[in-house]
Order: sequence, then structure tokens, then C-alpha cells
Amino acid sequence: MKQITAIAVNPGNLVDSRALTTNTPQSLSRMQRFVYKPLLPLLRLLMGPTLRTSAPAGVDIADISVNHKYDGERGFFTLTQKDQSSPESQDEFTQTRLWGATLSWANITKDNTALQGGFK
Amino acid sequence: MAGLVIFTGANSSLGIPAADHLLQTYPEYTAVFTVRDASNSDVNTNALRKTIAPYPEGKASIVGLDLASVSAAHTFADSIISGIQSGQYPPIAAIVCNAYYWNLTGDPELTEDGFDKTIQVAHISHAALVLRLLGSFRPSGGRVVLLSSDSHWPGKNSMEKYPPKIPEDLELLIKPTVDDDKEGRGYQRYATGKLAVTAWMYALNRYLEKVSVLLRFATTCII
Repeated sequence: MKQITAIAVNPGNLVDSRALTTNTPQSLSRMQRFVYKPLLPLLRLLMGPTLRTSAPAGVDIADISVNHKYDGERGFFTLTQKDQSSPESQDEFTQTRLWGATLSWANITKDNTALQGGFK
Repeated sequence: MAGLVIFTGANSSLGIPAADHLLQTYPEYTAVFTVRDASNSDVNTNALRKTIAPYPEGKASIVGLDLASVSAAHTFADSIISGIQSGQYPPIAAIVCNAYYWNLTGDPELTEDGFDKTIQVAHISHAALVLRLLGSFRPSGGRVVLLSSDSHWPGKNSMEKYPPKIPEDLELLIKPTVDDDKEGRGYQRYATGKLAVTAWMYALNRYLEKVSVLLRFATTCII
């Protein structure tokens, strides 16, 4: 277990994601169809490389999962680069509170996880 | 050493190209792709099936897993553990927590476990999965990849109307209050779920690193 690392990744804002037409108001579907997708090249100039389609994001996530160049990496990534996440996400007190509550919500006990050190 | 890659929500817009790239570029790995609905009537699962069809048989499988149920996450973990023990799967190299749920048109929905569905799928069920399976990684270790978003950071995403926040009272995280603004609050729940996942990642790393330190210390003490 000692060489297991956790990474949280922002894969970008994916203009062609089906999420934008799933349980969303019509206005959002229309935005995707008439603005985000057709104007992507222009929007990228304004908003940067995190605005992209799902395909390269999928490639990045697969790479981050298994490619050796990410061995030993921990923390927050934006696309494929190490990055800062929000102050609240980095607050240890928040992390600890959430960790403890999550064990309970997820029905995790000392008997069903190898991560014994995660319990008080 | 290669190993098993578990990838949730694999029939999503991101999941399908990820699956294709994984199997093509890293053929030494075996993959279990999970989807909420593994039946033949799910159009997105069928698209995933079509994507993985050209690759060698046995390299990838699609398994139904509804993360709106914590017990389903546990049952799935049990099946992976016994699959590894029986040699059906190699030990784990990576777990990719990609599945999501949101609803920007309705009130918060509670799962059978009594938790908000957005938060449960983003975080709680994935945490169950990961913590159950940490002991089944290969000896050389591997990665837990959690899908986050710029939405976790207040002000960063233009879809945000109400900023994400882990509430003081964590009951409000799992049982959010009802509001008239379905889109704004639905997106807030999604963003808060991503915030939870991101914060949890740091705590997970802390505990994983402690194990690493303990084991190294134990090794050097045995003279």
C-alpha cells in the first residue's frame, strides 16, 4: 500500500460533455449547441486551454492513471500539470472532518479496509 | 508490472476516449469499466462496448455498478477482491473515480442510503470503493485518480451561482435544503461534491504516506 498515491484532476471544461444535456435546463443544452461547441476555438482564446473537448481529456485521464511519468505524484492537477487547489480544499481541519464523516457514510470500518491508520 | 485499472462512469463523454486510449496505448493493463446501466438498452454503454470491441478479449470488461448505493459499491469491491484472489484479475494498478451525477432541474434527491445523490456518487460511494480496495493493489503500488473540476473553487466556473462550501454541519452536505433555484443549487451541489473529493484526496494521501513512513522505519529497524 505504501506506493499508492492519490491525485485529484481537473480535466478541463468539456464543451461537448453529455453532462450539459443531462438533467439540465434547455437553456444549457442550447448554450452547448449554439455557443460552446461552435465557438470553441474563439472561446479558448479568451478562456485558455482548460476549455476543450472530452476526447483529449479522456486521453489525459488514462495517461495520469497508468503512465510512469506520474509515478509518485500526489495532489491536485489541472489537465496534466500539478496545480494548486482551492484554499478550502487544502484546509486540514475541513479535510479531517470530512474524512471521519466519510468513513461512517461509506460504511468503512477497521475490518473492511487495509488503511488501518485512517481511524482515530 | 501492469495490473488492473478500474474506471467508473466509463461510458461518459470522457470515459469512452479514456477507455480507448488506455487499451490502445497501455495494452499490458487489464480494465474493468463500470457503468450504471450495463444492459444492451443503454446507448452510452453500447458506445463503450463498441469502443472496446476491437481489443483482445479478456483485456476489458464492462460491469454494472450504481454508485447511488453504498452497498453496491461494497459488493463490487467484494467481487474485485475475489476476482484478484482467484486470478481472474491482476492486482490493482489504478482506480479512476470518474462517475458523476447531477440534477440542475430538480430538488436534491436522496438515495436509498439517505444521502444526496450528487454527493454520494461524486464522493461517498467512490470513497467506499477506494478504501475497500486499497489492500488489493499490486506490491509496486499505483494510483487513485479522482475527477475534480474548477467548480470546486468558488468563482472559477461561470456556471456557478452559489459557491461550493463544505458546511459546518456535515448533515447539510448529505441532506441539502430545498430551494427554488434548481439550476443554481443543483450546480452548487455538484461543485460541493467536487470540493469534497478534492479535500478528501489530501487526507487520503496523508494516511497513505503514513503507512509508507511506518513501513520504511520498520524495515530499517530490523538489523
